[in-house]
Amino acid sequence: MAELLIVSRLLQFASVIVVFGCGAFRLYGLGVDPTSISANAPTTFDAWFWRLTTVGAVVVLVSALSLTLGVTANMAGSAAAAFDPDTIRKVLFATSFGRAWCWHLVFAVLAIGVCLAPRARWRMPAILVLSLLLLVSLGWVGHAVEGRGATRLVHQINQTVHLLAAGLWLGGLLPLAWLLGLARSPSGTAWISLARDVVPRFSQMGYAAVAFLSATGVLNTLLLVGSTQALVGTPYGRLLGLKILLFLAMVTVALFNRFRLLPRLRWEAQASAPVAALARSVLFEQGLGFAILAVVSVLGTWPPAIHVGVHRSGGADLVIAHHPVDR
Amino acid sequence: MRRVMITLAFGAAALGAAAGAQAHAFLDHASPAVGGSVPTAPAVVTLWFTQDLEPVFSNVTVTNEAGQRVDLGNTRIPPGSPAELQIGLKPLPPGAYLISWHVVSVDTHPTEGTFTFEVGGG
Repeated sequence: MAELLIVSRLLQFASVIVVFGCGAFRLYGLGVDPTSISANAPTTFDAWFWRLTTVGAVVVLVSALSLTLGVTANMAGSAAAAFDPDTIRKVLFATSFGRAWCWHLVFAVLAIGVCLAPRARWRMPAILVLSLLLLVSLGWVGHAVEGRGATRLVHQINQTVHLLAAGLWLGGLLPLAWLLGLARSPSGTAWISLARDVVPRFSQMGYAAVAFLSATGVLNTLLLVGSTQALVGTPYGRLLGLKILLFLAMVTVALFNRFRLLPRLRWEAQASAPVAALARSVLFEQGLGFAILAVVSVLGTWPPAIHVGVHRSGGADLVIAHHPVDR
Repeated sequence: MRRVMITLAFGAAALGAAAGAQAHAFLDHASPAVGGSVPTAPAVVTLWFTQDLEPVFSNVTVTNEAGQRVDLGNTRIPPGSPAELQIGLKPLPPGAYLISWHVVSVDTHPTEGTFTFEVGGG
């Protein structure tokens, strides 16, 4: 069951981030200055966007449902419980997790509805709003809702900003890769001038995203790990350390793209080489981003290092609380 | 490179599935105290935890040395105290008693534990 939870979380994060990031890319990447963009770029993008978003929305719903089953099994203490309608009903309607998760499921169903609706002007704003709600509602469950009072509010706001920044950056890499792929193709010279406009815009977004990810990441680490001792001395801390290293690697690649490859793309007359180099680099960045999501998928199923300990509560008896799930 | 990254990612996931055997909601303190002794039988047992609990999946039982239940089966989380668990007790003769608790915290993770207490100085 632990594996089901982790894989469901990974698919959930990846699909929500992709749906959100692609929609946002449409806004900041393509929608800003229509005169500088070739006439059919938005149409071609939209066709690709809706295909991707439809698949993404279905994956969001399916993984959200399997996540529900995984959490049910976890809470009830047995795999069989995941298939008991009564227990599932209890989880969805009588726990704080479930009450928040119901909203998430509703947003996912609505998103699929929007994707399947006939072409209309309201579809794009609707999917942008729904993808934002899907991303934000991920922060209504999990470790960010553990604490009390002011700490809990700060943690939740922090987590929401963290998710938005991650969604923008990681999610934006996919349409960026799509664009670079088109620019790289033999018939893609028309796309190269679009790439020259869009890549700098992506970089601008990237600066802001990295700044917010770093700040919110530091606060999250303080709230969930609490000390350098716990960061290096506990499994949770070490896995979080791996996430931080992967993040730093991504930032390094992004800086390389911005300061080495982008100038070449702008100024070299023969753009095919820098376009190809950028395309490869962005692919590598996506791999790192996926690895971060995998680490996060595991991390959320472990108790935060700040909670780990053995309590000795008055008297000779040692109280050891253990995790009964994998019986 | 991408394949290496994906392998690493799944490796991390596998690592996670194998490990991760620690608790989320710890017992912070209890009344009667853990391993403590009380002169007269208490009417309720109260347990305080480090996390808020899910009422639907949290319960506690109290048994005597013969393994028989001596609680009233009325596990509850007092309103306004989401990290507390209470259960009423039948009148207890002097002796040792075992408290077994099983809770699920609001972050969906179950934990359990046991401890003993004594009634009547013995």
